[in-house]
This record gives sequence, structure tokens and C-alpha cells, in this order.
Amino acid sequence: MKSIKFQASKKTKDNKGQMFIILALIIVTVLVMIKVSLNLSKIIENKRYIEAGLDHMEFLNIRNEFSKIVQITYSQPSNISTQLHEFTRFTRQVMSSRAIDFKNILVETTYPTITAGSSAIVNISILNGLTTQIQSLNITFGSSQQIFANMADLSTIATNFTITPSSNTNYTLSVFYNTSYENSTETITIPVEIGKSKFIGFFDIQIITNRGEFRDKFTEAYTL
Amino acid sequence: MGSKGILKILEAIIAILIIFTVFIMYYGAKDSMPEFQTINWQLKAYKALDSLKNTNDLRSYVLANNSLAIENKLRPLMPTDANYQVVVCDVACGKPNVVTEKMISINYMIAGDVNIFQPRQIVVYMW
Repeated sequence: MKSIKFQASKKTKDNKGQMFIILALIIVTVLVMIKVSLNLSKIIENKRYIEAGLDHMEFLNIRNEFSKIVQITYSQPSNISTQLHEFTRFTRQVMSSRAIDFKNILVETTYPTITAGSSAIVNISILNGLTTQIQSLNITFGSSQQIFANMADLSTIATNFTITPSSNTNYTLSVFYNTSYENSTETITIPVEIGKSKFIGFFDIQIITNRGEFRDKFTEAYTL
Repeated sequence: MGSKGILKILEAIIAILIIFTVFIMYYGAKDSMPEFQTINWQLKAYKALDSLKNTNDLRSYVLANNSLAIENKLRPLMPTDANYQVVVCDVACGKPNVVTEKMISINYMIAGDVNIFQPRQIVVYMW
């Protein structure tokens, strides 16, 4: 009995060196477990998500100001188009100074007070704020179509269509454009009301930050 | 010292090396803890400007170039642990003359007010 106890004690003494390695493995396991429980990658992901939320708030600010321009220019409808274009340039400058890309395309439709059975001219103006040239542009209003080519960045194309409505009618305006990176068709409903003059703005607004892209397309109609 | 003693020292060194290697690999400076305080400041400042805009005060103060009035109106809505300064500007905006390691900002845009088209930026600097 005494001999067995002596042998066991001797074996433990011989293994003391290996105990260091076993202890090291236990410590390493604990370290790894602490790291896993911290879940740092998830925290970083949450941070990115919140930062993207900030970008989205900034995007909404821009979007709402574009919409606001029509309201603040209400008493001078002839200035709406100029001011929308000026705000496009302003926004692009501000954004580019902070390494944010701002792109937009504006389709503005205006018509004078409509008299039933009489012809009226519908003016359609398109601003290319896509930061690249539009290679071809097709505008279809009702059954008439007009085609344009090579529309430079920050340039405007204005054209007229004639209508003769006998009652309130919804016309369809279709704008197709293609650039070096996208083809797009926008279909916009133009409500024509007898006895009224209107501005109908179609806005396609986009910002691209290093954390994501935000884009919105919307239409605003105002009686002038 | 016998060969057993040298073996024990060697094993102890291996053990220390294992711990150090794992520690450096997992706790290296690569993944530092993200800073949340500044993001919260930015979020609060944005919401504060939004609410000031909703009352229409923001537009009139911006057009009057009255950044002090904006600062005063923002005070109850801003984080209590942040110093801040409001700058109303066009495209190029000056920074406050403050010496600090940590300064962040948010930019807000205004197209104008009723019958006045005057696009301006409101920059809230926080430190």
C-alpha cells in the first residue's frame, strides 16, 4: 500500500511540467470564450447599422427639401424649374465636398389653365443630374414621342406637347433614358384638370456614401 | 539541474508562448471597441434639427443667419455631455476655433423659406 502511494506521488511530481501546458490550454480556452461572448463583430455591425441610419436621415433631409422648393416658390411658378436646378447644383457641391455622391433626375411638367375642348401646350423639362451623359432620351406623352441624344451632365432638355382635353383626363408621360451604367423607364401620371394650371414634378434622388446607397422616386403635383 | 528540470522549463516556456500567441491573435489592436458616444450625439443633433425645422423656426433663423438662436433652441434637445457650435453657411463652411482631439459634425440643408429661395447648410459641430 505504502509503495503504491509513493509511486503515485512520484508520477505527479514528474508531470509538473506538463501541468503548465494543461494550465495554458485552460487559460486559452477562457480567453477565447471571453472574446466570443464579447461578440465584437456584432457590435461593429450594429455601429455600421446606426451610421447607415444617419446617412438615411441626411437623405430624407435632401429629399424633403426638394419637395419643399415647389412650396416655397408657389407664388412664382416660373421660378420652380430654375430653383430646382440650382438646388441640385448646391446639393451636389455640398455632398461632393464630403465624398458623398449625389445623383438625381428631375422631370418637370407644367401646363397653363385648361379650357375644355381647346388646345393647350404642356411643357416638359428634364434635368440630367446623374453625373454622367444620357446617351439617349425618349419622351412619350400620350401618343406623341420625342427623341434626344447625348444629354450632358447637369444639362436640361425642354420640349412641348399639345393636348386638347374635353374633360379631366390622366395622361401618361413615359421617359426612357440610358446611360453608361443604367437603362431606366419612368412612367408618370399627369392629371389634367379643366380650369386648372398645374406643376407635376417627378424626382429621382440618390445618395451614395461609403456605407450604403439611398434612392427614392416620387411625384409631387401642385395646382398653380 | 537534470534533464527533467530542463524539460519542465521548456514546457513552461511553451505554455507561456501558447497564452501569448492566443492573446495577441484574439485581442490584438485590429478590432478596437467601436465608439458609440459620438454617433449618439450625431443622431440627437439630427433629430433636434428636424424638430426645429418642423416648428418652422429653423428656416427663419437660417435665413437671418442667426446661428446663436439655433444654438439656444437646440440646447434642451442636445446631449448634455456634448459641447456644440452651430455654423450657418453656403457650400464652404468654417470650423469652430476649438482645440480638441475629437470633433464631429452633422450637416443639414435648407432650401429656403416661403417666397425666399436661399439654399444654406447648417453644420452642428460637437466635441
